[in-house]
Amino acid sequence: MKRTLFTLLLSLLTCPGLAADLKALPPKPAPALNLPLLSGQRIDLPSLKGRVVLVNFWATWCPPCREEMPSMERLHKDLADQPFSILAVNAGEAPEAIKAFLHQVQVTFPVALDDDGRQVQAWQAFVFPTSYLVDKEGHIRYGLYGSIDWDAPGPKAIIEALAREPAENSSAAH
Amino acid sequence: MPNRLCALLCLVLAAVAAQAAPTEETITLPSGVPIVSERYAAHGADLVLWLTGDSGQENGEARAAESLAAHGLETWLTDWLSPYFLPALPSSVDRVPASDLADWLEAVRKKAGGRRFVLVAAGHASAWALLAVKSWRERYGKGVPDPTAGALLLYPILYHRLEPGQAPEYDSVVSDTPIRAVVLQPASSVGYWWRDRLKAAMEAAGSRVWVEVLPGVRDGYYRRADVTPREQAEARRLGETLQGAMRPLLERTTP
Repeated sequence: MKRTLFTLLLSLLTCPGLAADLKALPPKPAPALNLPLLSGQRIDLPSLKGRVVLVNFWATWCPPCREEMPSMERLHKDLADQPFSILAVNAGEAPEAIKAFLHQVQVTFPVALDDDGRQVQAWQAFVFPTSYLVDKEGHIRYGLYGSIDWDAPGPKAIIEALAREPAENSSAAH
Repeated sequence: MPNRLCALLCLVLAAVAAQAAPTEETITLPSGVPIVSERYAAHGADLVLWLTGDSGQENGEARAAESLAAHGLETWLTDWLSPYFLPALPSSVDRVPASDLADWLEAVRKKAGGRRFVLVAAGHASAWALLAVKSWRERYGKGVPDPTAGALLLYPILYHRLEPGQAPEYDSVVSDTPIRAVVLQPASSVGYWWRDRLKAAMEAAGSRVWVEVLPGVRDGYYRRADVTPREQAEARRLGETLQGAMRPLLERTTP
């Protein structure tokens, strides 16, 4: 019992945003992000300009990260007809470990590999999971430390509102 | 001969049992708060003061304390939440009065007979170790040799406040407390990616910091419910891990 409580406490300690919500942030340009994908391709964030992007920093050893992943997949499918993408950035794990996890929890959005943690630092991910919503212009608009149910009405409404914003200087890429 | 052997074996077992069993050490502070420690006695020249959030009897801390004592490092496991009726939450850490930490450290110093201290703490409680040293220096340190050999911080979480999109500042105790410190940082932890930042912040304040990475384990691996086989194995050798990590702190010849 004590150990269970401790594990719960650890989740709270390492994940202060567990019960929190997306926080609106003063818009600022997202850091450059160009990483290899688990699939063998590469992702360059500017190539997603014109789309709202959920950038999620995670690891398989992080229980809240694992728990929110299915809701991210549901969100991805629910908003398939909208200019919205998810990019899950794994922090420093071997592709085999990630694949083993994704064999259990299957996702259809891309998983990027941040081998050396440079993106963790550039995006100031001080908690796992850390998530940011990047608007169509490439600006960070919302942030979250901790996990949430991504396909719940609240986060979904925020993403849909961002997706409705006009993309002024972008050429939409899919 | 078999009888002698049997008697000898009984004596050895009794000695081992006596060494392993902790005794209770209560220090009532000037504020009236009784602070209870589980004392794993040993005769070495150094004293490990492990500031924790519960009794430790049921988890890897107690096993590690036994192991440390068996290697000559007397260890006190001290619960700093129960005396204040505080829940095991991060916010509780800030509610323990700095003056009580200092008064307790001074009381231990008087009992310790010149032995040096290594303060051990984990996670958010790491702030207690630094705060205890800082407050002791302020209240009692003038003209008295500092008994602290250093601090061993397990996966320290020393941020003042965490907000997405902002680089968090460290608690002011980090910059106010120059100290020799070892940071034991699990690799499967977000803290792993920020260990150099913490080291730099502590060293900017005049501390000397050694960082040791623990591969394949997560924060609190020695007491998690969702422990992996590797973490279980590493938890069994926590005492040895701590003892090895403390080496640079104990190499000094004077406090």
